[in-house]
Amino acid sequence: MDYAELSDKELASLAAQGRQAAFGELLRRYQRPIFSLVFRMVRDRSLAEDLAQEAFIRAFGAIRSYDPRYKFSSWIFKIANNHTIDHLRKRKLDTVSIHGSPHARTAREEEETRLVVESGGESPQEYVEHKELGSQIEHAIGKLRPEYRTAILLRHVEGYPYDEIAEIMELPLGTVKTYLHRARSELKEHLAHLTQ
Amino acid sequence: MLDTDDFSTGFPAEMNRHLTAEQIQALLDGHLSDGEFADAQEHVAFCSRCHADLEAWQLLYAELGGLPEIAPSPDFAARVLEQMPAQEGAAAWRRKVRSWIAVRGRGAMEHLSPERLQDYIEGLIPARQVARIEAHLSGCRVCRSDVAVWQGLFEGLGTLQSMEPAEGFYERVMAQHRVLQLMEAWEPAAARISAFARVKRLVPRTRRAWAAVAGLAMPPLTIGSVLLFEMFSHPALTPGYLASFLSWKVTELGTALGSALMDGVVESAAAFQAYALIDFLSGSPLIAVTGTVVFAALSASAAWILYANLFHSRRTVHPYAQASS
Ligand SMILES: [Zn+2]
Ligand SMILES: [Zn+2]
Repeated sequence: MDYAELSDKELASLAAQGRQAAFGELLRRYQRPIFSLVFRMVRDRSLAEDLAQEAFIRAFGAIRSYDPRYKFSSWIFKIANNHTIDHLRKRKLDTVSIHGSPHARTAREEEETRLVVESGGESPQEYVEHKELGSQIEHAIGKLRPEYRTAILLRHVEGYPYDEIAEIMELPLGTVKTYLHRARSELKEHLAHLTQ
Repeated sequence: MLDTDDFSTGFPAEMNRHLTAEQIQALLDGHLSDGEFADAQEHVAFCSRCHADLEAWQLLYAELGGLPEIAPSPDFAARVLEQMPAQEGAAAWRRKVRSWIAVRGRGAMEHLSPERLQDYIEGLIPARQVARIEAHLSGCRVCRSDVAVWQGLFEGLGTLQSMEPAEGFYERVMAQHRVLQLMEAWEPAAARISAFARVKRLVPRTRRAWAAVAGLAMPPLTIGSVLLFEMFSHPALTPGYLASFLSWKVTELGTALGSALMDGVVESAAAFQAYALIDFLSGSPLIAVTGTVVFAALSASAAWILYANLFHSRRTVHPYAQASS
């Protein structure tokens, strides 16, 4: 059987019967888009690979719960996005401010603690990542809040229609529209200095 | 206030609430606060139904104000007049509208909102409205330059490429997936649950059952600890002697039975090793003392459970006592 010829839904039903090749083909189709989304969400390549891997493992483990009335792409993006947002929320809780130690009493102390934090994280690996996501627009996207970022990436990198984005993000269509409008307005503001 | 969710939070739960006729009139009358006006404008920008309504109202206002414009359908005018507040005379209303138009003109709705411009560039605007937008653009330099900026942003977003995970990603995911599938096959959840349930069934559920178990366990444990204590306190009786005595007795029994099988078992290497182990253990006072302490502790806890459940329990109120009986 030529798996590359089958639709996502046919592959998912074969995978639910335990066919390894069907899992393999689904992974081949979605590894790139899923990884791209997660990478731009967390802006850290190795973390993104871990999260994307976990998302695929979760999805494959739950393949029998996939409802073929919905698009497979929506289903797998939903799992990956939820997993990534969960991670970002958790990290936000136990993260130390990159703007310097909260215990700093003087501006100078704050400056010193900030320098330590930032130089500590600048590995050669991260240098590569910064180059990868180094364009102005990538930077601007990185400044958006996670929900806006997801919406923008799904719309403009993956080219999904609004209703599918609403399905992936589990939001009403109107909210997705608002997110996209506001996200683009923020991007426009972040990039304003370039066009002037 | 608008009949919509709070737009200012950035997380409107829904944007499905349309502007009421009163809100649209208030908007055109200039009776909305700046915040309310912005909210209404934002809704109208994204909601084609309210946008169309607002435009129809504007046409009506223009007509009432004596400005020649394309007339709305007679049906629409009748609908609007029906909704007009009864107590407000047409003349008073006309005056009000006229004054509003004099002050604000159509300036309030003049430029295209960012939302509308974005929708226009994305091609989400219905065809009949596109012509109107383009008519505005052809006459408005401000909006035209704004469109150019937005187009630049959309082009920038369009250049974003999807990215490849590192080499070996596919293999890693498939390997982990296969391992998990194998584990699932070896360890069916059903079997785990039934084994657990079997063990669980052995655990006493009521106080009386606990008491019975403790009562049954106490005599042998007490006798065992007394024996151990005697064994190690009596100078003549050492565990080593006891072990060799027992071993000799068992061997004798086996010989007496004359069973070849018994001979095989008793004289086997396993039996010899067991004897050697007992001999070694008896030579170590630390292990002997530990054994005694453990036995004593088990006896004591058995006795305590017996006491607590049989004699003491009636006075204490246990929160789960009713559920378990
Ligand atoms: Zn509306
Ligand atoms: Zn304009």
